[in-house]
Amino acid sequence: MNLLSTTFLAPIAFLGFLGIAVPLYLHLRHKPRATPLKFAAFEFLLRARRKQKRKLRVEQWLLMALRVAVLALLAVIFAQPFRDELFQASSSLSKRPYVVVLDNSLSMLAGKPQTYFDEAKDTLSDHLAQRERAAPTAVLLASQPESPLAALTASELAGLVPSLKVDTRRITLDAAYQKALSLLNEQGWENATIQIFSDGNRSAWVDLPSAPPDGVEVIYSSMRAQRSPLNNVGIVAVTQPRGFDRGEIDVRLRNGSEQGTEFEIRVQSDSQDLRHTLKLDAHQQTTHRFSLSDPSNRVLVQLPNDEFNLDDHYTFAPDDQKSTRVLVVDGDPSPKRQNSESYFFEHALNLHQKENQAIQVETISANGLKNRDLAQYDVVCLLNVATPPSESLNELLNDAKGLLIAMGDRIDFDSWNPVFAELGLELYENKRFPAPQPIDIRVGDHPIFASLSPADLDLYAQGVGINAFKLLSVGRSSFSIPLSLADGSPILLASERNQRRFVIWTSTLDLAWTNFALQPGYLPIVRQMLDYLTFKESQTQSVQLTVSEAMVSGLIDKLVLKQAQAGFRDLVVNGPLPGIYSHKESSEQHLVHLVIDSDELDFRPLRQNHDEGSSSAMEELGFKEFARLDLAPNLIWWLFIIVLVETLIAGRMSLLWGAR
Amino acid sequence: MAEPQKVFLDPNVLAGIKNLMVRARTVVEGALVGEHVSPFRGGSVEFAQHRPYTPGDELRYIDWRLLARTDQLHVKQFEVTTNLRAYLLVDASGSMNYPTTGGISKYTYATILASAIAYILIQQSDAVSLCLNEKDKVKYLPPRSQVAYLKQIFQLMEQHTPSSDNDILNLVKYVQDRVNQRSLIVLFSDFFVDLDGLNQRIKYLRGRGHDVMVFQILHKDERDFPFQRFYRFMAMESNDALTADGKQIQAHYLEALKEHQQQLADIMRRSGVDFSSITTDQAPDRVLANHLNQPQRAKKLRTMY
Repeated sequence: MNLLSTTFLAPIAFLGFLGIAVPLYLHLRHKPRATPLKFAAFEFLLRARRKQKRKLRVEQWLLMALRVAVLALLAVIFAQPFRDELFQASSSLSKRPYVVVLDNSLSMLAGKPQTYFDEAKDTLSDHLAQRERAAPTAVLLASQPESPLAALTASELAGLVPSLKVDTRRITLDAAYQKALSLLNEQGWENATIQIFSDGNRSAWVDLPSAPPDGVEVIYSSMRAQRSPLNNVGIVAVTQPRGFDRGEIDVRLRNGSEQGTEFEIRVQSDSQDLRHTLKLDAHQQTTHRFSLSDPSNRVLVQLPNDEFNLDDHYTFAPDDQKSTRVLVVDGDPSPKRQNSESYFFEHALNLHQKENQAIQVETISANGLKNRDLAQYDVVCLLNVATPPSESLNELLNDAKGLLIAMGDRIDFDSWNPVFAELGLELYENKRFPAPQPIDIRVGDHPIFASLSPADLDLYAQGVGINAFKLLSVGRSSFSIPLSLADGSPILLASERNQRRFVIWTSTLDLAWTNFALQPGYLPIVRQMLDYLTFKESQTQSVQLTVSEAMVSGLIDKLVLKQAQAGFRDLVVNGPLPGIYSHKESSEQHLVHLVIDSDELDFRPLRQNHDEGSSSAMEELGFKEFARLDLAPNLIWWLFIIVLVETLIAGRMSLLWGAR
Repeated sequence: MAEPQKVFLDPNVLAGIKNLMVRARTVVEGALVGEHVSPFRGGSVEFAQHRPYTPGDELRYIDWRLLARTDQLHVKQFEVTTNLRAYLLVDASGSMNYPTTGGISKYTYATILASAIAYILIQQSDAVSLCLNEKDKVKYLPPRSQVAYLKQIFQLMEQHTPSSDNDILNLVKYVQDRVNQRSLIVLFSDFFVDLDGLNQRIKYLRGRGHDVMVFQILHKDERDFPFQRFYRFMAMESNDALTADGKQIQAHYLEALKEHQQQLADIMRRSGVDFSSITTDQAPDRVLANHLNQPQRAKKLRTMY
């Protein structure tokens, strides 16, 4: 039985608590034997009693409380309480070779009021101070396993301990532990002790360490094991979703606690201050989207302070997203809006019908195309337009960045084929099926499907049934066919020519020939088509990297810090600070967001199974983690003191009350 | 004659004397032996005028001094001759029965004092009345001055057992409604009563011109509170009970009693009442002598009668 980190070997002894009823009963029911006496001046007795009563009562209640405490303590002592405390050091530590592996990852800065890192350093200093001057000693920082501090005496190392710092990179203990073992071999140190100071998170290890060789004692000191469960909700990253509202930002959150929590997240821009209340289960991750009406230069995302503050504030610099202007030419308009050819397509592009959308859609009929300046549009979409607009055909093919043509029953073969001929295509025939035909993904890595995972793409293509389409022969054109029917008939064709892109949907984009518009894949695939037509992948945008990624790629040398994240501004750490960076000399204007590696925010503990006297995960590997501390001897002293006080008070009351 | 003054009567011995008449006489003799001034002047006479002597007039009324001056015989005539009326109010409430066992009770002591005063007064031909409280009523003997009346008074006191919760205030109320002319009113009680109510009653009596004498009779247990053990104290005039440790409660009790006694003495002093607080272990003849021969009492008597 475990109670407040104290374990009881014989919890059945708690039945002894029933004995508390005895003093309670005696106190409530017992009346002292008294000689009856008729007394005339009773009124004065009553007055005297009023003055004297309180003191007597306090003493009686105190006696009762002490007697209850005596019985309760006896029950607890018989329950054999003990506590597993962190194994600190062997008795022979002063002389044995001693190698310390100190986890200096960012997650060691968790814990309040003292961080795990400071606590580990204090313990380490104490241990070093106990060692003899000549005793072989080494300290290995997890961030620099290749360069251990080994050539110094214990007292010199103790002097260095306060200056040790955490590192902003992703750090695990695996390499440092292996290095510690190899160091023992290199130095020929036998009967050595390795002590690992870690935060106790599972994420501190890539793989669980191997059991130590014979003669090597490994003490695993988990800084969190002696504390109450860690409470932390952190911001993993802030990103800007593409193709949606310009002011939208996605905040990725992670609950590092071992229990679900409800918290308030606050997003501040120049003109807005949004507060949302969220709930996250233990260790759950989620992405929460905020819509800012007027995205400003900097957006500050804040969470309430907890036991790890470094992930509670995040300053984000949104990209200045240029709107994509889309002209939709509806070749089959209808007075009933939902019967129009463009109804579903237009809604997929402009989902919320808002002004500041990243995509600005303008819908016209085929006749309205005549006097349009098509150069101002990024993409022109011709949906079921009977005849190609001959006057603006050249413009269509040369001015607009992208052209999307969707078929339909209005399409006139003779009018369109000359246009298609220029693109190397030919309209061949109308095809109709008695039952809807599924579509196949022909080119899964086509740029149209960039940023869609294969699993998502499968999901989006599922359920799409084509009843009719116009068969286009591709011939020797440059068009590729990302989506087709099972027999290879092209459904989606795409091509790039002269810095312009073309997409042809051979069926309809409304419900006339297909159920595509009602399927979950409609919106993402239409958006992807649009991104393809506007060369979205080549547009510059800010990049998000972890500190480790930036260092490994060497990019960090080309970056200049513009603004460090709030939690790091006054922090003395090794490595680049997470924050907003710009390129040092390059002409690239986009910013780089350096973030903490999300694994450092994973505060899942190494599962400890040492309840009921069994060993922990690390102890099963042969590491020494806990030392059993028997609490009964301390309680016996308390029992002695309480019995003594009870006896004194009872004696005093007996004296005051006189003989019975 | 000085010897008997020093031999005080032991109340316990006195209580052994069955006959209250004998008790009263014993006390009175002890109290009045050798005193210069009689405390009461019964048979009050007041000179009215002279008139020429006529044969048959009593010779003792001839004013010899006037004869010496004028050589003529005149006799003195007196206008009124009145007797003193005294009302003895003895508290017979339950609390006066203390102690119920062992020793002389407060009530018994009160009857000794009352009977002694009645004896003195009737010997002087003054009229004496007795009032005792019973459960719901008052036992009342109207004022009479015959010597034989003493027997009735003593009998009533002897036969009565104090047990009521009817306190002295009701007795006073009873008497004040019935006494019209100025009288001597003597109260015997422990005065464990509401002092505000008592104050009003005493002021009323004094306002009506009555001479008031007050004997507060306590037991030494009540005065010293010698209880050192755990007791279940039971009220004598109600069913209330209280369990307490005598030793612990003693200081608070004495403090409360002292406060009460001070207030009582203040009330009596402000009202100009002769007040004596006595305990039942004091010799009653000495108590009576001290009380009756106070200088104030003599002065007051001269003023009144």
